[in-house]
Amino acid sequence: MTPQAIDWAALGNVAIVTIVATVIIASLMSAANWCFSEDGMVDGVIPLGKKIGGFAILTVMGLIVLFGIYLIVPYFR
Amino acid sequence: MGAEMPVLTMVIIVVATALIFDFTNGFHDSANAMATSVATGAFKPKRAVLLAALMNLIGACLSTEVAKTISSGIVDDALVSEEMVFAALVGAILWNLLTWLLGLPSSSSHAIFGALIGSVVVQAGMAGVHPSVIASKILLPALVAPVVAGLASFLATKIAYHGEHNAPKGAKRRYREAQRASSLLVALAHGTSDGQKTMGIITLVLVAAGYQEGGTAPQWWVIISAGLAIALGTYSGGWRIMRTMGKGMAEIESPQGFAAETSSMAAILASSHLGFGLSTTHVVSGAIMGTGLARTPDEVRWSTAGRMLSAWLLTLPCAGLVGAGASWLSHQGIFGFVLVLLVLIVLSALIWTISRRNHVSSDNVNDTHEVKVLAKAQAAIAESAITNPLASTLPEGVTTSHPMAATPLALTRLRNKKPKKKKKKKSSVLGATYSTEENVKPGHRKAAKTTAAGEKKEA
Repeated sequence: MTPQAIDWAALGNVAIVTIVATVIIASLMSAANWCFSEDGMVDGVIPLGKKIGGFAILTVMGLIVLFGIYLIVPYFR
Repeated sequence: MGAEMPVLTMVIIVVATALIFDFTNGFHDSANAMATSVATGAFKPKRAVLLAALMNLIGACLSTEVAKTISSGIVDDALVSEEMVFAALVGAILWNLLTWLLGLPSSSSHAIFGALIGSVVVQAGMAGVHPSVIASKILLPALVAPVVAGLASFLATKIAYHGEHNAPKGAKRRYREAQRASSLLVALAHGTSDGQKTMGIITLVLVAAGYQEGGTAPQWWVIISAGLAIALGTYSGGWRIMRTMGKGMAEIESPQGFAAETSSMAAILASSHLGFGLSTTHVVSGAIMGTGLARTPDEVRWSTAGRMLSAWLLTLPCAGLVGAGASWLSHQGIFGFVLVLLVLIVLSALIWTISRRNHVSSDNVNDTHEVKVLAKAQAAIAESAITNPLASTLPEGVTTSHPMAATPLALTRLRNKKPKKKKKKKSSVLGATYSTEENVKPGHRKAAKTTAAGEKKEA
């Protein structure tokens, strides 16, 4: 086997993209979770700012899901 | 060499065998998408496999691009005949069934590649195989996939738990809902990639036999049959592998399930679009291991991980040996071909029969983390009960040998079981004797033991 048979650049790209994408999505989910958590509630109600932030994050995550579907379905490419 | 089989007959048999392989591929890989969701309760087991089957079917039918080669350059496709394809399918099917019996997740793609390598070597010699491609497209990805996915999952889990052992309050419910989306995406991705594998094999056989022109797209019945085969296989559940992946490596919670599925999804999409293919099975297994390490490193079951790694390392040589044997036999003529078919049927039936000794289904997939093969079911339950933390709080009269005392989940069901009104019945199940009385609160059944004289005695 020759080293040239292995696409090390592609391997590196896959590793980096996987880790970075996962960390970003996990961070977004953690942030959304904090926004909708019971911590910081005022009279049992989530503050408006946190609620807006939470829904904004969920919207971004929804767009990520749509991007994932775009990548998965060959018809779109 | 004996008499030759009519071409049409051979094509029909090969196509049928390919669809059977697709079915085994389905139940083998259904755990990839749904194991963590089933383990954390994001989906009920039956609903999980139904949704995964639908996603696989949709994905398979959406995938219009057939693989340009069935072997991705691992063997010289110009040398591949219908006999070799048949032998390769036989080898892959038997390996899939064996690893399913043992509850070990292994790559169906690597199984078919290994069997094809063995099959080609027997009939065409080593010149028909490209070792450098084997190393770059099978061996290296098998090592890299679990590490990359595991690392990503590890980091995601740390983020989800904020570095603590317990998830923030209310987080589990929200992560469970997010898991549903991520697992469906994994199932869809699996359908688009694995669905076309069998379509490519069938199309190649049709082209080689002269029933289709080269370079044309798969026929509509090929797309539908391959899609249905993988969907049906997915729906059948592959519960033995589901148990290993969902509970065999580590006990996971919904944030961990989300972390594992997200990292799996990222790895699958990155690998398919950046030119370095990774096995879904290896990716998901590595991701589950990574999330287990992040939260409960002391509770990761390394023995299960070791068995899985052994299965991955043995996939290529073992499937290759079976493929080689099947290829040699089928090359002897029609009788050899029929003999290979009979061996496939007999061994498949034997494996299925052995699996019934310790049947794993949607009803008990989460009851324990072990997949027993030859041990009696009762012994497995008793062994699990020894470490059952709730054994000391069993309802009176119900001993640890009672099958319902095997696991916390089963115990909860036993306690919450509504008492039957106006019914006094004595039951004896595997050594435990108790009677139910009306208006008894759940978890407070009065036990009744039958003495040697047959008289009831209050415990």
